[in-house]
Amino acid sequence: MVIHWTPEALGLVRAIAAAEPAPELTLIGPAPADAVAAALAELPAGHVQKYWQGSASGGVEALARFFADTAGLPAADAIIVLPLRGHGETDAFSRLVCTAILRACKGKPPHVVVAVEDPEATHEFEGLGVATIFYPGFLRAALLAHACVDLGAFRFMLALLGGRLRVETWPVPPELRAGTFREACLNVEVDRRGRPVTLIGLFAPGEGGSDAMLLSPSPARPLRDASALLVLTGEAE
Amino acid sequence: MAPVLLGMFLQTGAAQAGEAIVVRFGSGAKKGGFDVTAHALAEAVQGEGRVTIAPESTKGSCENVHKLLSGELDAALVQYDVAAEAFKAGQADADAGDSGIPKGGWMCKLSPEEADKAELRVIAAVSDAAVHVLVRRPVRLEEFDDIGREPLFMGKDGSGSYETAKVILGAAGHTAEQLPLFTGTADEALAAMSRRELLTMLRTTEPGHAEIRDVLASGLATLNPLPEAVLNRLIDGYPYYRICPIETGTYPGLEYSMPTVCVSSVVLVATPRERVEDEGFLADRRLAVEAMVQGLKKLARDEQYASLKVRVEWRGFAEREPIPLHPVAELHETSERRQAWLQGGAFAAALGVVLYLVRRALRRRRVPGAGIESQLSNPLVPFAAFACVVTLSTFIVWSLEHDSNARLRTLNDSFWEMNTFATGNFTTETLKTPTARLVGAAATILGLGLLAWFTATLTNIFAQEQTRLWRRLNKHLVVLNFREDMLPLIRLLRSPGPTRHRPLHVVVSDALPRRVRLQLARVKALTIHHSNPEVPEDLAGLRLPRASRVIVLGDGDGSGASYDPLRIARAVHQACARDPIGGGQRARTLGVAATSVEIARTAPALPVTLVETSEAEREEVFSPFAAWLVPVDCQALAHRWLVMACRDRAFAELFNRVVAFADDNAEVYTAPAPTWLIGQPWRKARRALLEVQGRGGAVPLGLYRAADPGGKAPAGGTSHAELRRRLIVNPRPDEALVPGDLIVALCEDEADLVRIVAESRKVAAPS
Repeated sequence: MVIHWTPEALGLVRAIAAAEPAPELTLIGPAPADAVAAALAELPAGHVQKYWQGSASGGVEALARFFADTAGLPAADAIIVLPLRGHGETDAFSRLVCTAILRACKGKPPHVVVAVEDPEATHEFEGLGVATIFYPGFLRAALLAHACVDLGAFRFMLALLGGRLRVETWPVPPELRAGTFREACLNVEVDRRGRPVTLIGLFAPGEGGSDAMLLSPSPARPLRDASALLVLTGEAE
Repeated sequence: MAPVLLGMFLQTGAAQAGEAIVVRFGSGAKKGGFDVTAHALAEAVQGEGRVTIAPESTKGSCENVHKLLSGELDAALVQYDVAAEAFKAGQADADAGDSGIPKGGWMCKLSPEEADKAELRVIAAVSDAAVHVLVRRPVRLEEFDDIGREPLFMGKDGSGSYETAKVILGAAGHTAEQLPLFTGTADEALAAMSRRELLTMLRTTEPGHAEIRDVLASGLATLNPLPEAVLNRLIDGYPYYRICPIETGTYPGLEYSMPTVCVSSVVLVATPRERVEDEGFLADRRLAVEAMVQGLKKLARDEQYASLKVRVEWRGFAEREPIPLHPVAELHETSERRQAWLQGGAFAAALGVVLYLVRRALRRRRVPGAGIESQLSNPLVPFAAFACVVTLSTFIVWSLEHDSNARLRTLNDSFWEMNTFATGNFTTETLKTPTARLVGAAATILGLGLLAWFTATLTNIFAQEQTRLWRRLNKHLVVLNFREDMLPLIRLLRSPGPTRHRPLHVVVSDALPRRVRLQLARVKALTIHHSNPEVPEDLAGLRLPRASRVIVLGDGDGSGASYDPLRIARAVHQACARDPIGGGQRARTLGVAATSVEIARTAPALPVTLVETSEAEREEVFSPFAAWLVPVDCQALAHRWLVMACRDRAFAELFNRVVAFADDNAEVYTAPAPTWLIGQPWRKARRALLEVQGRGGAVPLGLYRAADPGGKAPAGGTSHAELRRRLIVNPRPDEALVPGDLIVALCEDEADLVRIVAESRKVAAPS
């Protein structure tokens, strides 16, 4: 489900549709359905299951009800909240939407990804059940910066974004529990189908008891407390 | 032309007589310097035509002059001061007429009547003699005031040396008659000096004379300088001398240059007054003079006469030269001068051609700074001009005054004086002649102007930070069409992680808010350029072919207010094509149709360029630049990011960490594979890298492989090679590494990876 969708984000719909397997997509935007019909018509049939008009302009409660009763938001696998431009403070509207999502899902929202305009507004989403906050400006900057430093790294990023390289979470094999990260790296060379993979990190209890991602830890780090392994799969090109 | 004229000139008289022409040649004391030279000349002339030189021994210059004037000699070696006095005496008589005023006082007791009996002409100056003031040790004479306290040796009466000593003492205010002169030979004088009966010897002889060398070596006497006041008075009253130092090293132990005067010896020829109209006589005399000139040249040229140290000079051997050259000598002089001018002209023309070719080559190659405008701001130009002014004025002033000015005896003296002048310290005390003063004044004015120019250019450089800019224009990063929301890019590029911070050049438009510019201005090694990135000329100063990367940003908010990325890409291409490093010398003329082969041939070296594209300006638009340009549709990538973040919950965290360049965070870097790993399977390389202990270690991910491993660089420069590389992540364990492979790994920073790769061999298990 994509919230605050406008025809400007048609590319996002295409990107979602290009994913394998293509998910069912519901769009919620501020404009009336008639106004976006022409834009949606450009997409191949079946890309978008439903378009709803809705925003936080009517209040959080009303929006939460709309999410729960009409849009079927609690059943969504993942939600993307886009910035709503032209309606006052953009990120504030996104925060209201996240509050409505939380209420609609009775405190157990699905995987919510919020794209913010102002990176300084990130902390405002704390406690709203948002999994990831995305700042497009940072992505642009990071990609270009890596391209400046190392073209190989830049192409690695593109492969990750393109889905050719994937990150998978694997359970820790019992025989590796007593070993170190280096030993695990040397042992984990292929996946079940015999395709080469690379162990790049692990999950282990961090501050507050929740699992934290440890990327490229020290080779001597023991695996006894690791909850999962982070494995890079796929081919770059 | 000159030899033809000379031949015609000589033939006129030579046709009239067939008998031998005997030249009575006055030399000097037997076995003296003049005598040896005269006999050598006779030997050199013998067998050349029908002229014969018959040397006649005399007492020296004085007797020679007397005999020349009386017609007893045809030619003779005479010290120039004596010769000039004889010539002037003859002229003085002509001017004075028959007045009853008593006459006298000329050198060698010449009377005007005697001097008027013959017409004296110089053939050439052949040798030089310097006045040596030898003073018994340990006395040193700074002044000549008390020179008469003890006996003094001046040479034999009648010799040129004696006459010269007389005028030197005269310049010091003494007369020979009042001084206690030692009468005897030079050897007797030395013996007297050793008995402490003689204090001073004044000898006029060539520098480096063996006898004087022996005296100095024996410790009997030291060489003393002529006092400056004496020098100046001497030159003012008797300009037949010239100031010449006895140079360091001329005698053993002489460690500094000794100021003194020199006088040349000339071959003088006399024509009796009664025969000046006798064409036959004159024709024979011309033949004789020509034979003597040829003989003198032979003495100067041939190795066998090298010990005589004869050199043939027509002019410039004295401060003033009143005696005219003989017409035959004059022809030789004219011929040599013309030849020298021709050689000088040819040299100047060759230099001009070379300079023109260099200038043309610089302009063709479009070397920065080759234009006049650039030269105006180049401090080396006024500095070089200043050096030229000083050098030129040094030579001019030295040539004008070195014979007459005790303070400008050498080029070194002249150089430092001219430096003083050119730095604004003009004075009339140093230079004597009006011409030299004019040159000095010109040097002062030009020098001041050039110094002001030099100072201004230096100030300009420091003001414009050109020095730092120069350093920053190599392997630099260029961001074109910068906009406010890309400030994180600058922050990331200045984050820890990469091995070194490359210089950043950011081209901004006038629309960029001032607060953003101020933020940029605070970034280290970042230069802001206010220019239009769509205009190739505006990009010329960025030296794009040397850049490590060029980033062309798009219109972020889609307002269309900023510059167009495609037009910027074209401008980058054009700027590189015009740049001498990028291939400016083979740039194709714009607006002219060209074949694809020609276009490929003239392709410039271009930096790897990343262009931010958008849905409005899609990647396909940039396909003609695919060899060096990477279009990056950031909006589409952002959409993909969102999709990936929704689908894979670990993706967002991993991606953010991998791209963040934060402390204690691993990023992806590449490092060249060490040679020992070439040919080894990926499994071995991976194991070796994992064995090395680092701060966080390195996790090898794969290889970044050249399109043509180990092959030549492709046409179009390094960017083509860079973009044709292939990224292999998760290679097969048996994949062998090839030359040119880069290892891709997750590591805390680039330096760590380089270190781990370097240390991998030490820890690798033996294969």
